[in-house]
Amino acid sequence: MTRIPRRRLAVGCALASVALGLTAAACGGDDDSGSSSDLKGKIAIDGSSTVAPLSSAMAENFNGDNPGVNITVGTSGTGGGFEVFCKGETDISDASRGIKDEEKAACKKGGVEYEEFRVASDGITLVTKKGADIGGKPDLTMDQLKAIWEAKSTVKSWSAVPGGGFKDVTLTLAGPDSQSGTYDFFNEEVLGKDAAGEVLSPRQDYSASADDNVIVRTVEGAEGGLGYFGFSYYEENQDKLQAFSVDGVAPSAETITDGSYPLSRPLFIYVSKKSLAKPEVVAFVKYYLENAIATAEEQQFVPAPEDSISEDKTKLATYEK
Amino acid sequence: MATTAHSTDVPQVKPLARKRFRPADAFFHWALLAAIGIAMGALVWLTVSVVMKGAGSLDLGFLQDKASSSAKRAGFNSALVGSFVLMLITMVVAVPLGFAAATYLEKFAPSSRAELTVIANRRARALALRKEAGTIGGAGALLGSVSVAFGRVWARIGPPIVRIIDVNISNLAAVPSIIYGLLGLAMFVSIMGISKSLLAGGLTLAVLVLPIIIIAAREAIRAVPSSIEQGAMALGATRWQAVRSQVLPAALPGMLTGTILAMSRAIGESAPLVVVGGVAFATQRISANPLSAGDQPLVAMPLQIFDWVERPQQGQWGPLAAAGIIVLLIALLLMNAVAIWLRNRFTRRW
Repeated sequence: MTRIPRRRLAVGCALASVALGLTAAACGGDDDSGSSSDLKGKIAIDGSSTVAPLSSAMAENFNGDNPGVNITVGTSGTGGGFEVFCKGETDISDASRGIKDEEKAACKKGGVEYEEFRVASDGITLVTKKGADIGGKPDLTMDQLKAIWEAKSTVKSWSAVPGGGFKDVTLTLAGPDSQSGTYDFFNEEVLGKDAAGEVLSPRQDYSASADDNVIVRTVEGAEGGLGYFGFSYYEENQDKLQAFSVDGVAPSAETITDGSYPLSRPLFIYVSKKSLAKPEVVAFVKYYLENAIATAEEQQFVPAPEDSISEDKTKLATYEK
Repeated sequence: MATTAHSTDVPQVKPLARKRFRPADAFFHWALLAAIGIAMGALVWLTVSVVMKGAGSLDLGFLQDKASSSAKRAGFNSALVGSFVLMLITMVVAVPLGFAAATYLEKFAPSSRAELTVIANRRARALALRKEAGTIGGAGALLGSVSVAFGRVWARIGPPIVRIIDVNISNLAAVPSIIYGLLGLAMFVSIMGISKSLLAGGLTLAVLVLPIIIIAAREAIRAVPSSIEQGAMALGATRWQAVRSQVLPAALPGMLTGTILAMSRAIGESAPLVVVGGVAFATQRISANPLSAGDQPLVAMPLQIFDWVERPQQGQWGPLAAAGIIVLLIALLLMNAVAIWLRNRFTRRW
């Protein structure tokens, strides 16, 4: 007979589960004990992956003081975040740009009212490889940027950038893909809107990526590269990348916070008003605003200006009980 | 497969007098070697670079600490436990369904209208005989007629339905995984009202691997010689007895191997999890108890690795991501090792 002894089979099945189990060998261990507050509940955050590290840090620190409040941070992107936020599925939406009209409409349809709080700043930074021999000055005007990135652009070489005085080096473009809030913001600022109020689309022949580190590597590896992403990716790779100033203003923490850098943008959290009725959410947002500047610096974000934060604190005060 | 011996009638092949050098042969030989070399080279290069980058961060603390926004404190525990629970749910749901479906499709599904018609006619005759003899009456007779009528209808619609299912299972195995994410979101989250949790993620992965498990299990069942089953039935076993105690035990190693390979695919999936609400960060420690999966945030190894890879401060986060990849690779290797072991240990030859 060809029957396999039961015991042997049992061993086989057990081993199969051990293989899975071993990888989770270090389960267990209980939550950090010691509660210093009696706030309880869950807060769901989703949205921009640019803002997520700041929200995660806030969530972690807040949870340290309030172990009863569990917070999750997703990274569906600004647009993806608003999609679930406007259905009422999340309490807070991270956004690397202001809410769009069609998203406002979606929120209205979903019966979600919200408050906007500015939590940090960012500057879209244009970069090329450090030491790239493209000639000219490392400065681009908004008009030049438009000439390079607009849909009908035929600029294939640095020398074709109008008024740039660059050498004839092939232009390799890299940028975020269309899911990204950075992409939306850049197009709105640089390309503007058409007669119907729609943000214009950029040219399609550039290498698009959802991961900004891929853009860093693309630009780094090209002799005449030009790419854009959030300031922190430039700050982190300063040894390999050269940033362009825009309209004569170089990106830096100061020029971005005060808004004098033309491509500076605020980073927001949007909080549902329904959620603001819950004490743990109000406490969290309060904590977020109080620590916005310190934590932003710790997490290598450019902080929001102090006056905008104190304005937001006043806005929040109406929800405190 | 069984090889029957008829060596006596096979004519002896004359060996070639001498081997000639054929350039095309040599070229093909080296081209194949080069293909293997490129594939293996890329794999080795990737593995070595990941290990070099991540080995320094890989310690017990890394496996025990939960996720954190500080690279110094950040650990892989949340993701590891999350993936473990996901695999558990996936296995518990997909394996029984998959094995049952495969057994039905291979051994019990109607293959032709003619065969079913014969069975229905035989039942009708038996019923008529019993009615005549008066051993059945009233409700029993009615039930018998209904069963015969159903048999006749099934003879018509059964085989085409089975064929449609057959084709669809093969197609489903090739559907991009993100589609399963959308399916999971619609079916488990929107319709069934399960929160966006490990449970929803595990169920989605179960649907994702179900066709793969069914196909692998069917192959394994088909590989069992039909003489085994026929032998059992000749000794008086029913179809089900023969399948249960002869065919399934013999096919089990192959079925389990296929299952583990399917699980290896599931453990690396991130796209469907993102769609059903995967998160990059959760403050709470994830419980390894699958019964509480319904209110645990959906975290998993691939999601955590992607979050780390994506961050600007790669000097800090890069090594953590690499260490996470090593853990994921070890999990995969272990699962594959078990698959190979099962195959070698329990395979029967006839």
